[in-house]
Amino acid sequence: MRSEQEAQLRRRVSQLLEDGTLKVVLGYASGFKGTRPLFVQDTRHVDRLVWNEACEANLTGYLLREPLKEMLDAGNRIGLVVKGCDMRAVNVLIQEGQVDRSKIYLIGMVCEGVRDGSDFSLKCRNCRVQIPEGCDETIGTHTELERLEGNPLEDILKVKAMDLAERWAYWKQELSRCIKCYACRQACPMCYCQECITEKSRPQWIEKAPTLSGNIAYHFIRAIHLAGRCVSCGECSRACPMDIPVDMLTRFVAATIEEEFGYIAGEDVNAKPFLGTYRQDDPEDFIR
Amino acid sequence: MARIGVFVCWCGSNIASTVDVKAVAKAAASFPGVAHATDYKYMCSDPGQNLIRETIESEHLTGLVVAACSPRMHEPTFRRLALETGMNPYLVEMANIREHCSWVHEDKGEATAKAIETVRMLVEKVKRNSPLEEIRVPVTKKALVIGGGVAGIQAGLDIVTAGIPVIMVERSPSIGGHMAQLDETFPTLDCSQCILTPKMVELSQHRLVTLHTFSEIDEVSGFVGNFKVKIRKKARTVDHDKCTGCGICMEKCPAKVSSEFDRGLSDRKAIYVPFPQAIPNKPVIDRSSCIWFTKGRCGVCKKLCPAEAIDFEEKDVIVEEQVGAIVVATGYDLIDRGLYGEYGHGKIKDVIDGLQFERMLSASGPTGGKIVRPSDGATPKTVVFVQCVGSRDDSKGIPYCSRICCMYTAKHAMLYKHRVKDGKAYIFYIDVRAGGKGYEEFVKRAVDEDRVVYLRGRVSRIFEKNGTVFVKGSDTLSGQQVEIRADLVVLATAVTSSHGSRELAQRLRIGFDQYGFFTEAHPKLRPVETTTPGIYLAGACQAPKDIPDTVSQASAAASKVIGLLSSDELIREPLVARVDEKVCIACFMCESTCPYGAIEHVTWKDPETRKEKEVARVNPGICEGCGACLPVCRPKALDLMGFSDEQIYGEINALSDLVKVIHDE
Repeated sequence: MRSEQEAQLRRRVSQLLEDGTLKVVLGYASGFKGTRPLFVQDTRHVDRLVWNEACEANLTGYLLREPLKEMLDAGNRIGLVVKGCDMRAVNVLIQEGQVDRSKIYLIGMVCEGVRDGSDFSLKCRNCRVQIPEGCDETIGTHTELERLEGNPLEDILKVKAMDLAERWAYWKQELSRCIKCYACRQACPMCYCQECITEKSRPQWIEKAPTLSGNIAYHFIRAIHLAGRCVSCGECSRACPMDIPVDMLTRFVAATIEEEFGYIAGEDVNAKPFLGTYRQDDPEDFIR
Repeated sequence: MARIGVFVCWCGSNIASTVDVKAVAKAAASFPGVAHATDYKYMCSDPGQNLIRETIESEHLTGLVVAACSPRMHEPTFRRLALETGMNPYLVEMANIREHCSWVHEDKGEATAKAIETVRMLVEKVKRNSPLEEIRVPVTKKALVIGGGVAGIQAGLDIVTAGIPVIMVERSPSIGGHMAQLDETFPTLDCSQCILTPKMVELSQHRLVTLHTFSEIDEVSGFVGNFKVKIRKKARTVDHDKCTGCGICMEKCPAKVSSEFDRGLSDRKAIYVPFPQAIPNKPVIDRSSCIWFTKGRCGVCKKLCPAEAIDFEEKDVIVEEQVGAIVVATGYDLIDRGLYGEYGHGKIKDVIDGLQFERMLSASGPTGGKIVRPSDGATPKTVVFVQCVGSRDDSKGIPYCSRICCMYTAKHAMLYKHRVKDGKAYIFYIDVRAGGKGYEEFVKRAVDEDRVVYLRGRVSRIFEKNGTVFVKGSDTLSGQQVEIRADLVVLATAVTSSHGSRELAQRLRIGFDQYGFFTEAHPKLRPVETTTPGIYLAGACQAPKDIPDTVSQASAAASKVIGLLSSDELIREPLVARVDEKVCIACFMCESTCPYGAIEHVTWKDPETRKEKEVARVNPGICEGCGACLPVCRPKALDLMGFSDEQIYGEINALSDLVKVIHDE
């Protein structure tokens, strides 16, 4: 199915650029170790677009960064190639008023799973959004889809099973390697503040130097800032040059929120932000 | 360079006996930025205040820390003092070394150490305080009263006496509320309608009153002094400007339904005035029972109306009003008839509730004041009254006391005995709560003079056998089970919150308890205020109440309104949240967490880049400074004046020696 999808994607992008519907389309091209993002503005470059198992990245974050942000602000309509899971990120950005839905054109790809190296990505396990919803058009057939078995929280459960001392040692070991390059922040589609709290100096919340206590403060604050917003796309960990599984922290918070409150960030574009809602029957048994 | 003055108070022996105040002052003198530190017996006394005043001038102080009692106690005192000397009052902080220190600790050494650290924190805070100016908000001199029962009427009358216009919104077609349904009132047995109707008339004819009956509150926005209210005037289907109130329509209308006012003891027409003394005394059409609206034919009223006042096409109208204050007086309801199946309420004809009995007693009621059995119209010779039906019954979900039942049941039994001389009246009770003025004497009169029999115990079952009603219960004083053959049973059913109270509370953004009663700001000291400034409570919407208490609370609420609206501007403390527009990312998470609706969307132009963007703005007139918006603001564009991140951070860092931190290994 993938090669047919790829051919159709190229055809459609070509048409959309030609008839002036879109100024630019963001998709995937072949690159070092899999794929890289590709901005197609000219129909001559359409053939560089690919659709394959290596299209793991969530490209949504680019919408809020240059040069796309400037193009959007100037009133251009922008095309974006998305998987079902990427749609959750788009939805959160719409929910938070950061993206005007009418300014973007979503080309949804029916997805048979993407790979992180040789294995299917954790996020593909037990995937419920293989067929993207809410797109302007969808490419691919709905039949013959095989659901990928497994638990997307496998890595988290492993750490959770450790005893307290063991877990502390694990995180100390992982987070002490952080070099505070902020690649995780830059890669995250939800980290779009123009002035990040890490840059605040009055007061200075987070030590600038990569010390363990400062690193812990940074990653914990990041997890809290993504509470109810993290869509578990894993971009942060993919971006980490030190191979720290930083996404485990934000995904753990997301999993807790789903378990306790039944809220999945980005699942419903019309839902109110998680931290901004209050129901009388909210569970409170975990408050001690 | 900061020049902070630290003033340590002994509070007589309150502080000085447990905290070494001299040591605190000595330690404080060495803190960086402290220019002067001293102690005194009573800082709040005149000599104490003079000491501070003189020191501010002689030492050129830039900020004060008064180490004394709770800021709730004397912060205003010392802030006022600062203002007198020309210092901004928000450069004064209290270190609470009494409630937080001397009163809760015994060891003098440890208490002193804690006091020193507390002062150290506050010194660090004051260094980061910035001068703040009071917020002035203009007010609309007009009040809204929601609910036209005795509470709303009293509040409205008191408010207009002060020359402040009142808009009254009442859900039903007439004002009067439950009090209009009552016959005689305890403990003086004066006629309810005779004392209420003059007030109804006075209110409705007052030049400063706008009456919206058959209307509901659709939307409330704005804030204290400046509320915007959308009132839905439901379609009456009768043009009250044309209607003369002749009554032909009601006479000829063929559609009959049971009367809400008479609680089902009589019928009313689909076009109706709820009771003869209603205000306005002009009919409305109940569209759910009108044949024209349900079946599309009839139109008798329209054909017969000499004034051509019937308008079947009429639609709901939304009226917008601006008011400065709101009094909520929405009253109460009684529990559902189905709640007490074991008492046959709603099933057995001769088992009625207190309000039905009240209608029966009323001279203008369905029986013309005669007490009769609903089943056959005969005069009941034995009447059993049951108290606490629902109230104080956890198993029915109503643990609270309804407060009015003991008294009205005594009154009912008494009035029954006055009208049926040879009748027998029994009252089942748990205990008799007669705490008001003249109440105990009233109950005693029922027992001694009118020979009402009080049986202490609960009723287990009320049932009908061969057309006769039996009441089975226990008399715990004699330890016997009793079964009484009753001609009529009157249940004192529990008072509940008015239907729709929760929805109204959400619209008004005021609190309510688990039973739907509105919550006051403080149960003892702010009993008529809600936590939302400018919104006040009167009557049974807050908790079950009798008429004297309701009227007192209504007058109290009115006096609050008059006080609030007596000046042209409201002065508010500047301890509100503020947005750094440059940093704001317009995610409006703050808007969704703000319980007061204080967040606005505004366009802001960056003075550097000249670019425009949408940002959040905190309306200082609405903001209560609760800080709920702060934690959800990820870039920390929001800060709370007087409790800024920098101030709090400074306080915490002052303790860094005491705090165990995670050290790198």
